[in-house]
Formats: sequence, structure tokens, C-alpha cells
Amino acid sequence: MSVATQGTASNYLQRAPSPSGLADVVDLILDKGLVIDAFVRVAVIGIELVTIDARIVIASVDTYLRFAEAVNRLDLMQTETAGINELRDGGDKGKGKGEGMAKGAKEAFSGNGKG
Amino acid sequence: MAAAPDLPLYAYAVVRGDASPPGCRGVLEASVATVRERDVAVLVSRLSSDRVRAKRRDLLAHSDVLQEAHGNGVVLPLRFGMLFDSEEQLCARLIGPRHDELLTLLERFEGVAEMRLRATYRDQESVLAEVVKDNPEILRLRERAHSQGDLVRLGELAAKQYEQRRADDADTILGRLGAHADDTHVDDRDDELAVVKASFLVRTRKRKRFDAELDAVALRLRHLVNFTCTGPLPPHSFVRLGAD
Repeated sequence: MSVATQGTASNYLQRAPSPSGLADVVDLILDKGLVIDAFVRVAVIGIELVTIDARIVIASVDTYLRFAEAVNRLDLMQTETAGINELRDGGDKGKGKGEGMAKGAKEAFSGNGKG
Repeated sequence: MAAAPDLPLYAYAVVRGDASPPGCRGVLEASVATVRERDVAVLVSRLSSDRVRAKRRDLLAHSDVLQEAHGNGVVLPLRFGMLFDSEEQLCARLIGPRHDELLTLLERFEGVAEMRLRATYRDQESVLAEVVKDNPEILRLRERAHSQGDLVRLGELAAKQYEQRRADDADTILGRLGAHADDTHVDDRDDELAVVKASFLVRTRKRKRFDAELDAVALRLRHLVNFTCTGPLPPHSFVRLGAD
């Protein structure tokens, strides 16, 4: 994304009075709330939710190479860093916008039950 | 509540003894009622089957019940999925032995709500561009990193700067919003683009100031960060019993 498309209130801050979807609710509710001893039966038997653990640890060579690639792809002119123009000559072959190297895993839900 | 005492009771939340149950449907489409003992009541649904299989829509229903109840007064959310065998068991095991503790909690959470915030970088490139432009070492390596070793070094530096920037932005957000909250609960980040995921316990009378601060923080970081704020919500992330 280019810096030029940054924007208005509606696209950088969103407010909602209540959780609006399953992802919100899972995030908010699962594993939270009061727990009362062990007396209680717990009904969450077959809840058809799988959250893929997506924590990414930035510590591997692969990750570093991915970052290096992203840095090389940066079109620094776009970010108003005038004056480093000459630096762009060599390393900046991929002038493209960089296609979301940060696809980073997100919570995903498997299962097909609609409830 | 209706008869059928052999069917289980699903419990949503602890409320004040004189609270009315919300009108919406709960888990498994059941209606919601209260079981009361003195000054404390519990929102429950009598389930139609003993063989409960909680599903996605039940999670949403649980949330809806809490949300509506929270609109009527103070609510202490229970963990999703709690069943009691009977009203007697619920009173004997939940309310009875903890009546005073629960009442104290109800008083403590009166007039506060959870505000849930998620701040996420819009894309990684913009953040990298910011951290890279002021770092001569990265600029130098970017210019002449040809070997694999150079590239790894470049990536390592960039990743470090990225993480530092993310930590700084998270600190800014948490510090400024936390100043208007009674308590703050920070969740683990689940995404490389996530800056911060946190809940703030905010007094109703401080909501305007909290909202204004959020406006200001979001405005300052708008070139990099998307903010989503949900609430006012029941205090999901903050309720604790002494035994926890």
C-alpha cells in the first residue's frame, strides 16, 4: 500500500458498540469470565472452533531473509525520504509495491458447522 | 423457572438479585431467566437436552445475552460453557458459598465497562520504510547486500527495528489510553502486523475522555495503524474470584 492512500477517520479508527462477528466473540469470550471451582460441568464439548496458533517469532533466518527482501523492495521515494535517491540504484530491483509479505497467519476457523 | 428439573441449566453471568433477565434468546435458542438467592442472581437457560454440544452460534448467543444484560446493569460474565444440574445445585455451589464475595464484585464493577482495542499495522512496508530511512546501517546494507550473509544481516537489523517500533507504538497506545482506565489487560499478539490487543476497564464517567484520547492516539498513528475499538462491554477480561 502506498502512503498516499492513508486516510480519513472511517478507515483508521472504527468503533463498534458490541462484538460483530465470531472472531470478535472468540477473542473476547473464550477463556475469559469467572470460573467457579471444579463443581461445574463444562459444556464446551464439541465446539467447532480451531484457532491456528499464529504467533510468529522473528528469529529465524527465513524471517530475516523475508525482511531483507521487503526492505529491498521498499520504494523509499514514496515515503518522502528524498536525498537517498542514489541509494536506490543497486539494490532496488523489485520496485513493485511488495505484495503483502506480511500475510502473517491469522486466526482461522475450521469446521463447517454453522452451529 | 419452568419444570423439567432433570435438564441442565446453562449459566451466563452473575447479576444483581433484582435484575431482570434479557429478552433475547440464549444458547440452543433457549430463553433466559434468573435464579436468585438474596442479593445475587445468575442468568440461566434451561436447556432442552442433556446432551449439549456447544457451537459457534451458541458462543454468539452467550455474547448477546451478556451484552444485553450489561445494558441493564452490572454483569459478571461466567466462563462460556458452564452447566449446573439444577437450581438447587447452582445455589448450593455457586451463589450460596460466595454470595458476599459476588456481591462485593458486583459493587466493584458497577459503572465500569470493558473497552476492547485492537491496533494493527496496515501493512509492513510502511512501517519498514519509517524505521529504515533513519538507519544508516540498513541503508548501507540495502545498497550492497549481495551475499546471503549480508542479506541475513540486513533482515535481522530490519526485523529488530520493526520490533522496536512496534513495541514503542504499543507503549504509546497503552500508556495514553491506560491513563483513563482503572485497569488494563494486554493480550498476546497473534499476528505479525498486530501492534497491540488490549482491554481497558473504563468508568462510565471517564468514557468521553477515554474516547477523546483514542481519537488523538489514532490520529497521530493513522499513517501506519488501524484501530478497532469495541465497547462498552461487560468486563470479560477483568472479573476474578479470590480463588483464581
